[in-house]
Amino acid sequence: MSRIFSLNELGHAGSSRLSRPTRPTRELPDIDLDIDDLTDSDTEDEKDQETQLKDAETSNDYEILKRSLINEEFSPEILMYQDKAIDNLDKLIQEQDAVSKEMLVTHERKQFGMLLFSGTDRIKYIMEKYLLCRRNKIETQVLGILSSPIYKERLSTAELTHAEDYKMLLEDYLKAELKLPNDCLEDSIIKTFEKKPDLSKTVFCRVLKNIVPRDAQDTAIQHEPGDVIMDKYAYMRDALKDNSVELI
Amino acid sequence: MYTNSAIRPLIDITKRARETKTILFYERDKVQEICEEIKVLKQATEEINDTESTSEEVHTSPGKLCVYNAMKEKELNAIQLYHFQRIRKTKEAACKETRLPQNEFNRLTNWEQTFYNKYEQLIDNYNSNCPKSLYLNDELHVPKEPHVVVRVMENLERVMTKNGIVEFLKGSQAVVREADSTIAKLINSGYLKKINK
Repeated sequence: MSRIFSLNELGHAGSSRLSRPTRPTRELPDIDLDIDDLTDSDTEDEKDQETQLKDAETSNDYEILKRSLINEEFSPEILMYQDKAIDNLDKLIQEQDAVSKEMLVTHERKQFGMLLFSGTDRIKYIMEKYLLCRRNKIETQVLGILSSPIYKERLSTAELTHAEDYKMLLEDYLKAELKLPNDCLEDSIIKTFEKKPDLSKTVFCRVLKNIVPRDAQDTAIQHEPGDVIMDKYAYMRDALKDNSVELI
Repeated sequence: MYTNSAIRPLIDITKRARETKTILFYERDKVQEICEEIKVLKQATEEINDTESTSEEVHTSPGKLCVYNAMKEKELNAIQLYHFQRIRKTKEAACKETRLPQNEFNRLTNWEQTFYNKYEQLIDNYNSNCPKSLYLNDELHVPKEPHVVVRVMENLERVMTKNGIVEFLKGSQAVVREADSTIAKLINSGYLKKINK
């Protein structure tokens, strides 16, 4: 017949007890250290702090760009171009490439060089995906973007040039290929091919800062950071611009 | 009036074009038939409007106008869908690393060929204004490892990569950095083939 054993019984089962090895205790060294003894000079401290700040900024740029990519993919309209993050990450990639090339030459540091390479590749992937996502959006909504000063401001110089050239190219092609009376189509021939941004599209957002729900009559009720909400994009637009929410 | 009998084949062709990887021939006859019919419908609509405005008796033929406008809209939509699909295919072909094969290029109309060449140039101009370290290609994939093993499909002498000058011998295998733009171009062009493990 089976029995339910208690932990104590199991522990005492058998004639011999298993002895578990105990972690060796280390005694703390008896060193009388003064804060001045820890650093040789103040300049080394400053350099360390600078490096730490730079690292923090770099990881910040990467996080900003990653977040912008996700927002851009889920948003129906074009968002603000992250030129600072792109420039900073481009500089980082160039520096890192130079360092990793040197490391690859030395046998001992080859693996570190490969690690740096894989890090660089990931940053490049995010940057490339971001730029391509924006370029595709610009091409599908070219007329709407160029006719709105708000959207035009959100483009970089290269993107604006690309949008204008693409619009001209498309117009020339459609006018030449489609031999239709002009008034059969809308004002501009491209309008009929245009994919307008659907601002009533439903989006999922994660709250970053406290925001009052749209339908709440009592302002004391707020969405807290970490909450996930679902609403139309048109209502989340302003919160997205303020970085109060992020699209997921 | 053709309407459905002309639109349906064009819509079927558009659907088929969406599923195929290659560019199909341009359906000039079908597009011209529909354009002619749109012009005929437009003339008919104008005649009705003129007749109503000049005659003293009010002949209300809203039904006829409604039908003509609906047919015109249907036909315009069909033409737009078809051309939109062709533009999309041409753009995809222009973004690829390898040039379109001659037999497929010949399936484009003259205007489409001009569009293809100019769009390629547009993409090159855009890429030249982006950070130089990036390689903007529609076929992106998530980098999992810094190096990939490739099989060399053609002899390549003195390829300049970021790690220096490399020589590839046909039939051999090499460990390369896929993120290197030169290597990525060679893989997309078919000179190097990735080996999946």
